[in-house]
Amino acid sequence: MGAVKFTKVLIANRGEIAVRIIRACREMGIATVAVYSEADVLAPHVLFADEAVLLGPAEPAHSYLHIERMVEAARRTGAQAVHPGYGFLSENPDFAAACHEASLVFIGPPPPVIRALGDKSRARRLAAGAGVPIVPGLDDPGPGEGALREAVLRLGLPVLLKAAAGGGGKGMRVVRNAADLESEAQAARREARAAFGDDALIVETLIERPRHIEVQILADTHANMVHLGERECSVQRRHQKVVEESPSPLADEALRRALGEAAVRVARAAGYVNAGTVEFLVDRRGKFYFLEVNTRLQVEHPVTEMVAGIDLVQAQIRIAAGDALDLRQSDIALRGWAIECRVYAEDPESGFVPSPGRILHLHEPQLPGVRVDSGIRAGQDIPVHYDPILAKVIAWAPTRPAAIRRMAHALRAYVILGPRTNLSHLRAIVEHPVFGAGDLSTEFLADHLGDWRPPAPAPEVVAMAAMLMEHGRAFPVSSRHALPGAGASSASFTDPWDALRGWRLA
Amino acid sequence: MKSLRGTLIFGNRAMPYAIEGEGSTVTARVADREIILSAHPVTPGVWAVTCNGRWLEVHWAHDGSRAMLHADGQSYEFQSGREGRGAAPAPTAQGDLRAPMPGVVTRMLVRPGQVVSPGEPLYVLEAMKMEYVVRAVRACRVAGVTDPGTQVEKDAQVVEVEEEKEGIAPGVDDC
Repeated sequence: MGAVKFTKVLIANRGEIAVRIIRACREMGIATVAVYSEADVLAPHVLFADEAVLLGPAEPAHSYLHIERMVEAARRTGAQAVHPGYGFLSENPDFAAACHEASLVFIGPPPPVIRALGDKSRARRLAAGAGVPIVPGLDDPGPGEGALREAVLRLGLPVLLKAAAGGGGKGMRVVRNAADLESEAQAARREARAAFGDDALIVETLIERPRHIEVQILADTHANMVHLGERECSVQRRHQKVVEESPSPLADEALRRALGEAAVRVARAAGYVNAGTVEFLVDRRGKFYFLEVNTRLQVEHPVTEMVAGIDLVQAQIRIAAGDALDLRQSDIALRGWAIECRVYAEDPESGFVPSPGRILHLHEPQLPGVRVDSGIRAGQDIPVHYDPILAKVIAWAPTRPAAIRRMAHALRAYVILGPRTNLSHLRAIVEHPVFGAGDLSTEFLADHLGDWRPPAPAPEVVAMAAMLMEHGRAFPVSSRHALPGAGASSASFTDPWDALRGWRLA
Repeated sequence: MKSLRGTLIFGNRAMPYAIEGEGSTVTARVADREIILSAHPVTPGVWAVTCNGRWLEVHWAHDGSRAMLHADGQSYEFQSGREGRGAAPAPTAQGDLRAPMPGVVTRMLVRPGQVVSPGEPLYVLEAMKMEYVVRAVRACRVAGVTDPGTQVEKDAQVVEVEEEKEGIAPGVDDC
């Protein structure tokens, strides 16, 4: 690959992914522009970038989703290209088109490809046309509930109702009894309309306890395309991925090759360019079905990077600059095993409700083979307005059991105090014998950790907490005394013996 | 030797303790156990603690009535139980009227004077791209509501009802 022509890239995102993209740019000698909202004034991605532009108020519609402001920020700072990250505007064809109109390179596929694959019915037809198996079903049986009922009768129960326009679990309903069809369809349409402005539904045969396996592809503008093996993302809660790995414990060479070839066929049929992910469901008999294509970088891209030895963000930037891939399929070899855990600001004590707030103390694991993609710092206020993802822990090792052990150690060593996090839940997942056996499905958490509760403190821990509480009473170092948004940890360095002396005087 | 007594709240469990300093050590009495501790500052927010003779690296922070610590690979958050009845006794207690999490009230589904029955949705709270529908657990009459668009803290009184005994509990809408 030759020298990249970009000298400055704007990152149209926030949090860990913005930090990760800035890092890739820096390694390539490209200057970076961060964007931020009023809720992210001192966020790490803002401090890490070479320049930063305030977009507007905290609400995403006025900041990270505001196309005109984003384009204007790129124009004003002289960026030649825009990396959208994931979420926000990353799969918005209007944003990609607005970038092109402003003579900015959008680091992703061309707008018509984003548009075509964003329509789940069209994507299904495209995959079927490319000879890739799709889940038996009907896209858009029509607006009337009569047509829907007929479609369900033809497929047989149980079925899955899905919003044709989107993903992420919105507008997704399982129907097991014919009596529930009408009310579930109405609810699904209502959610789909609210989330995507379109209430068209897809009806599919429900695949019970499927595995979610996806294939990373890279395609350049010179008709070269490769796949970088698969990732398994079966461990999910509320349709959100929690733990991902590459390779999949299920896939043997034959399945890997079949999935890879199917992914490339779909991507070629769509005229795909840049990095993308083709998602599949695999049933209990090992038969796979096309699910959808994500036309962007995935949250879980690091596990592929670790086993394939390829920096996907740098590859995206090179492809967008017009470089030809210097990889052939025969060059790709997966080495070892990588697992990713998503660290969320949510409270496992009360049903995993979001838990925003100030990070009072932070200590990230530093272990061989462990990578932490983080978007947080001590003293930062985690806003309520955005996704609860704080960071990702990625562990690599030569074998899956070794990667699991590394991950468990990394999770134990990760300290985030302030917001509640799912770190202990992640540990329970990777230490579970069924996870260790690789016997996964999208129902894994419901089947095996449905009753899980965070561990209660041992009396020793309560004793330490009591000492801490009395210390805090003697030396109140609350957030009231810290600068808004500033680090609190330096202020909290007090000698515990002072506290003990304090008690004796009390 | 003056002994300090207090209660820590973990989840919805109350854990009483007694603690006293004695020279270079602290003795805590928890759940009929006597635990001898000594703490040494290492770096900001980190203590080396000997606990019944075993060395532990303890990361800690406190903020108002909250104390958080990480020891032996696990983080814990406690609330002080000494702040009086006004403080949250148990965030998930049944009959709790308050917001189950910090967030924005996106929709108010009831109005003052309205009588609601158990299971009826009262309001929608949104945080971090997730929507929560808070439902009534008992029949009650709505006395006051919060305007949609208001950002509220965890445990904020979003809907007030007339009888103090009546209440609502958070319920996750599985949409």
